[in-house]
Amino acid sequence: MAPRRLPPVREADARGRGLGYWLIPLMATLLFAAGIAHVGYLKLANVEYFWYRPLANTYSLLISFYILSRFLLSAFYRPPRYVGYRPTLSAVIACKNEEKSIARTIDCLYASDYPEHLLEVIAVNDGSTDRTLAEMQRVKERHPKLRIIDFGRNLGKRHGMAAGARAARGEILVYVDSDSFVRRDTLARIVQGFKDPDIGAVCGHANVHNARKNFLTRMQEVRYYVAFRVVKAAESLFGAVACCSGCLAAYRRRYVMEILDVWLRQSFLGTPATFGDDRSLTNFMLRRYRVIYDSRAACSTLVPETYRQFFKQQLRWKKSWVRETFLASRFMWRRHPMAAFFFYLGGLFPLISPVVVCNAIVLPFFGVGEVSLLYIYGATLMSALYGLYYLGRLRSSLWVYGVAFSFFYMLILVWQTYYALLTVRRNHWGTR
Amino acid sequence: MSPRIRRAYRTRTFLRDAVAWLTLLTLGATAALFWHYWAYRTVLASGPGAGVVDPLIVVLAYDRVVEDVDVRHVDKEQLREQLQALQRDGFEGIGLESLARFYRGELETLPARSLVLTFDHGYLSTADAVDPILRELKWPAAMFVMTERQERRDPFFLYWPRLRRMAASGLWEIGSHGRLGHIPIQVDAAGEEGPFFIRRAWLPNEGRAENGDEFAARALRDQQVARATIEEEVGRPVLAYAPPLKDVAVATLDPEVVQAHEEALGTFHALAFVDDLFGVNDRLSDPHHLKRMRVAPRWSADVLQKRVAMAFGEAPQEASELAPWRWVPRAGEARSEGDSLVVYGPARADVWRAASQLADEWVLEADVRIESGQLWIVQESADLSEEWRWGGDAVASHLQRRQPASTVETLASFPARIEPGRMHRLKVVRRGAGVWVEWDGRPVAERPSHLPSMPRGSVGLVVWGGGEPAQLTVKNLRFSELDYRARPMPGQPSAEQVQAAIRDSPALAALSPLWLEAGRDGLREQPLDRDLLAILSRRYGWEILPTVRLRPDAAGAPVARLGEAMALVAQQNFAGLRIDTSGLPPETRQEIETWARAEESRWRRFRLLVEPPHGTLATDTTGPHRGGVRKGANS
Repeated sequence: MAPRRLPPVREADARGRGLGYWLIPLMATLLFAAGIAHVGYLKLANVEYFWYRPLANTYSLLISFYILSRFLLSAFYRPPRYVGYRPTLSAVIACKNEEKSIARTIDCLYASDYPEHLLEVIAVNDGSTDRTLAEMQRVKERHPKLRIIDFGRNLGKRHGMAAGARAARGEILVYVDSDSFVRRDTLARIVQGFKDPDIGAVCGHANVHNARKNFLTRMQEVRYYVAFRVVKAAESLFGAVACCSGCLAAYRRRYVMEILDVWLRQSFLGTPATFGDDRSLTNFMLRRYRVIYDSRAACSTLVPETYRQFFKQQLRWKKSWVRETFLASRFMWRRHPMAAFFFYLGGLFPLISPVVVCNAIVLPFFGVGEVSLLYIYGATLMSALYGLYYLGRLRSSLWVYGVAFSFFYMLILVWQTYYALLTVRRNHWGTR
Repeated sequence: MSPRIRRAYRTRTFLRDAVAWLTLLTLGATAALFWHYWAYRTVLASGPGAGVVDPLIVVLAYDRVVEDVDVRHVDKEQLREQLQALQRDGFEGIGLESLARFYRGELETLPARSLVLTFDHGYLSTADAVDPILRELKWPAAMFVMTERQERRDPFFLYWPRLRRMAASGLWEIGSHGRLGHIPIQVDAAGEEGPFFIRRAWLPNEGRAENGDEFAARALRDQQVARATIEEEVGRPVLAYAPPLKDVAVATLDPEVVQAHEEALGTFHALAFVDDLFGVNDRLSDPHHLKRMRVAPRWSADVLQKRVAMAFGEAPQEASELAPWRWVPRAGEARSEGDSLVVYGPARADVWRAASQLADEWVLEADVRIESGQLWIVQESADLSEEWRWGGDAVASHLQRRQPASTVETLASFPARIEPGRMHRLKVVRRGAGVWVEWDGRPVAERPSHLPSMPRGSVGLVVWGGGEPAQLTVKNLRFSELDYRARPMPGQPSAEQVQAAIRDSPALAALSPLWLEAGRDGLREQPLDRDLLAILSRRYGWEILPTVRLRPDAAGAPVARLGEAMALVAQQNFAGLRIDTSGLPPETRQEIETWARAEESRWRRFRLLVEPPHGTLATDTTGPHRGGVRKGANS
């Protein structure tokens, strides 16, 4: 008999409930509210003087509206209710050269509070050149039911995922990255959404495992939290999460099997699509089914610790963003109007932002125009909102890295979009 | 494409979210409607409240108004204080439409103290700063826009959507400031540039500057285009025009340019404004030359209050003639030194008497001394199209008539000399159709001088230095209004009657021969010695106001008779009509006075003198400075 209720997930690491336990979120919330009010006030000027700079004002209004809408919608977000749903479940880990973490990833899956007879774990070795296969076999000694698929040569992650799906016997497919570690309750929670047959996929929540390693990982910690808890939560409200992160995502196997061959053979501009598998699989689900986010089904994942790895990962993501956003734009208008509106809006900004940044900050250094202090102020305000949100929810001093990340993004990462656009057909792997 | 692939790419239909779509569209439409009604809501719907037939209308002109304190501009708080002070003084804001209707005769009355607020150029900052104040006070205002700025989308100025919203609020009316205004254009072959509106454009293909007609056509076209543009964009008629350059006659010495401007003022708009030191208008003002007082950035509320009060002629009677703001310099500077007023400037200096433009008949007395050059006592016509002046230099004095930037016509010359460095006693009496001057206690001529036209406008003292700095010292200064005195006499006066009138000629404004008798059966003309009257009028500067005597049997329908009489008098080019009501019962006399007041407001520059006055009229005190009907004094 399955328990009717699972214990709540503690999002915050509450080390003693001192004054700060109440005070920090209170202050953060007040500051956050003040920030929102101030943004609203600034936007009034955009409306009042709209025709003086129609393009700039449209951009300014829309981007603020977009960001604020994320916060507002996410406030209405509720994770799927725990209804004691227990379908058969196949967890698939497709990996290449992950000898350090693969064992722990599999161990975590087996340590789940999920009935053993309903759970199967499939590890796919995609032609690793290190001891990954040996690690898998070592784990198999502890967990004899572990199924290992070994390609013998490298075929690509997509093939690994597909092979896992084909081999699986469970109703629900759970894809877990080989550097992500699920909690004991994660599997039990992530399947709850599937009680509704209209749900095609559920995206889990990912925390940064190595958050305190260095400056870069600290920034990513805040970034991840906001990207999941705010952006995906907002998208989830209309059942249109744009990307089920590869760290942890569950799919209804029957729906995956419908499109598996087509997905496997997907090509874009004449080149086989070999990266951004999570985003493209999500897109196939989005065509027909609802895709939601479950903030309580959490895992922790290792993020890049060096800038080189980080930039490679970001470029890969950007390229897949370019490809899949283009593909999704052909059908997203059929989705819920709010989802469609925000999808197209969200697709526009990364294309325009570099121009705006260039105009507001970069060109002035070459003597063209003046530095737009208002833009810098607005950007700071917005990034402070992200940081304060993080602080208010998690009471963590890491929040300032969120502000830093916004500037990091504005000054450095923003340019990658155009590079990704130009090189979207180049397919080589940016390995971690 | 195989069925399998097609199946994979099959998508859901948006009809699944039909409810959401409908909800969203409905919400969107509602929000758009709400926004539209909110943005274009009417704040001020009604026109001015109850008023009087003979109001005084002060027009204030502001250049740019800004939110924060700035020495170069009037700021928001300063404006608020100024308007609140004027409100406390009993002023009521009126809009251009009320004003235009008043001058068209469609609106009988305006508030006794009407105030028209005008803002020039159409600055965005002005609208931002002023709009909340207008909403607070519920006062309308006019914004004059120079449409070239909207075409160019100059970000310092208002754009059409905002102007439309302003107009929709009922608080603002949009006036025309022309299109190109002072944009520089090429004015000669060398490429010299000058303002569009006061210089003749250079025609490079023809190698010449444009002639007067071409300039006039260009000026008119500019106005026409500006007006059409505003009407099209704002969707409301443009009632008023304010020339983009303040004093064209001073800015250019080109008479044809000045002439073109004069024509432009009255061509396309119901109202036109010109700059003036006092900005006070009344029923008799020319709606195409309404005067605006330009508010300087440094004026506090107190200063503005005083200036407006002085311009209204509201200073306490006992206040010194040298009280602040009573004599205002236009060129040069003026200051009080003990009991004298000293006016000085580099080449020319002048001072102008507040409220003098409201006086038809007046007397100016003063002890004056100049240090060099010439002294003139000047009265400008209300529309600034001409002026008359008396004055001169150490050689002789003259009575002259002058049009700006044009030739001077000398009407008469006198041996009286204005010697520099010596104090002279001066007395000028302006009454009827003439002027009487006494210099050093003696008349400059045997009889008053006739003035061919009847200008009514500000009176000033002007001094030219004649190569040296101009300086004028004035003592015992007094300017006062005179009663209009008409001398009744028979249609064919005797020699004695004429001699008696000549003896009183300095103070007598008009002769009033009995011409018409009104009874039940109609008007009956009495014989009139027209030749004699014409000669007397010309020689002594008298107006001729024929008398119509109402017999008691006309009491049944006096008004109909009087209408006929008025038409007859006007047809014969007399200056007005004196109505003798002595034979009528008091209630009929009151009825006639009321009729005359209304009638006079409809006619311009036509005197209706009702005698003897009916002393019980309440309306006498409603006007700020006088009743509607001129009361004569029998002499």
